[in-house]
Amino acid sequence: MSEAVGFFRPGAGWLHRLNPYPKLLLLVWGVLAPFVLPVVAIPFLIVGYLAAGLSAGLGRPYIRAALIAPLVVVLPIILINGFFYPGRNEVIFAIGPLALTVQGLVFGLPIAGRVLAAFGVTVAVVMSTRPDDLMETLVQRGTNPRLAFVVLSAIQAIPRMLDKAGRILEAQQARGLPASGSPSARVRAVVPLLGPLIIGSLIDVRERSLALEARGFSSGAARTAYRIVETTPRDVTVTRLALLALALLPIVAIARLTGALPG
Amino acid sequence: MERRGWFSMEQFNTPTLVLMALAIAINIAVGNTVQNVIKLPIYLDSIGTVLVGVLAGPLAGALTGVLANVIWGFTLGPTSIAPFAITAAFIGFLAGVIGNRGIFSPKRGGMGVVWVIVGGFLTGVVAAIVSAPIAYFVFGGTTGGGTDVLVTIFRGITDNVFTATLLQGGVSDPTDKTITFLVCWAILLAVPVTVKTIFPQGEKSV
Repeated sequence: MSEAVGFFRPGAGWLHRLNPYPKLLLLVWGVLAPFVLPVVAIPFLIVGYLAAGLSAGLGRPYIRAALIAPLVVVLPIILINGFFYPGRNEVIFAIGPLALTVQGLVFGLPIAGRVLAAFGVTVAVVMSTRPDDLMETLVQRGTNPRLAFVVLSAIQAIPRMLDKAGRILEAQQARGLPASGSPSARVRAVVPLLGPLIIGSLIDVRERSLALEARGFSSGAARTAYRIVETTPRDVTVTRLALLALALLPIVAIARLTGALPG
Repeated sequence: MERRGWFSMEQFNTPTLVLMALAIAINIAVGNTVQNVIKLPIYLDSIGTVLVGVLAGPLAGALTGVLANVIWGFTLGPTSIAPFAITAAFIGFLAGVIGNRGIFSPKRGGMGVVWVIVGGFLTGVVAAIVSAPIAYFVFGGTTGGGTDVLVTIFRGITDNVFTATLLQGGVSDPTDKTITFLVCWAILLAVPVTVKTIFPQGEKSV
């Protein structure tokens, strides 16, 4: 069975070459910044993140995952707030009983922007970072290797589990189970799916635990790493800059909360 | 038997760690299949979390919930679920505390089901209370799922966006978690005793 790569896409751009630790710090900053910085900064953050992703050679799959896929979340935010903002509002235009309101857009657009920005930076980091390299770096920095085992083994198990769920559903459909149609038919379709999938996994646990213990999983002896993640001088510089940028966020947050900074 | 604390590190034995990894995959595979293939307006993405909580303990359950929500984004592509890692932690922890009372044991018979329903409902109420501020501050109340319909309906009833968000959670979460607890109860009835007892808190469900 395959390696734990998840959503990672191979590449050779600057994001791929950056050490996972500074990349993780940049991710934390990138997700927090649209929520902490003033609203005017949001469009710049979105453009900046997209530019970063594209300059790292992530290409069309990046645009699809960072701009098109989040529309499922972003469009409802704009539409539901724009048309269904509670209270009396200034109407921009009305279609029958539906009215687009100023207050709704003022509330919805910044939220949509923040979510889009957070998606932009998360997709860029996730696509350019191998989960096993990320966990290896964290273990080097003191994370418990048992936690790394849980994360990586879960990432490996997910495609297998999804595949298994799909196959069980198809097998049950072949026996006459309706998996589409009325809501009650679809609820009934869940039961024959969950039983085989979950009970099988629970019974697997004992075998897998024994196999792990037979290979010294709990021995506590020093571990060797299969993949070596190097830290270059550039990584050290980026780490310092990222920590500095992270330290600035609470200052901006306090300035905005106390009214020293508008927006 | 010696009483183990809710925060005891003894929860994390090797079978627990293996179960946690599979539980995270179960959360994601079942959640994804139910929401996107069978297309039901419930989440069913915490079955694994509740199983770990019940079998291993509160802390293991909480950690499973957090990791599942974060790892979801790392494998199937980023979704709006990651901020709800905090809710997932509460769900796993409560499942551990409730499971420790032994309500998932087949010995309880008919009364066991009643307690499982009560436990699931209470966990859902807590999940709704924890989720509402997250859904409100991060997403303005709509998260791009089937539950957005409910948010829209509640906005017609109340004048306050936060109240509408809380009401949506108040309907969706207790329903979802009651179903989740019942599913876990049914699964645990079908699992052999020798499998349950390899987990730190497994004897409570025998």
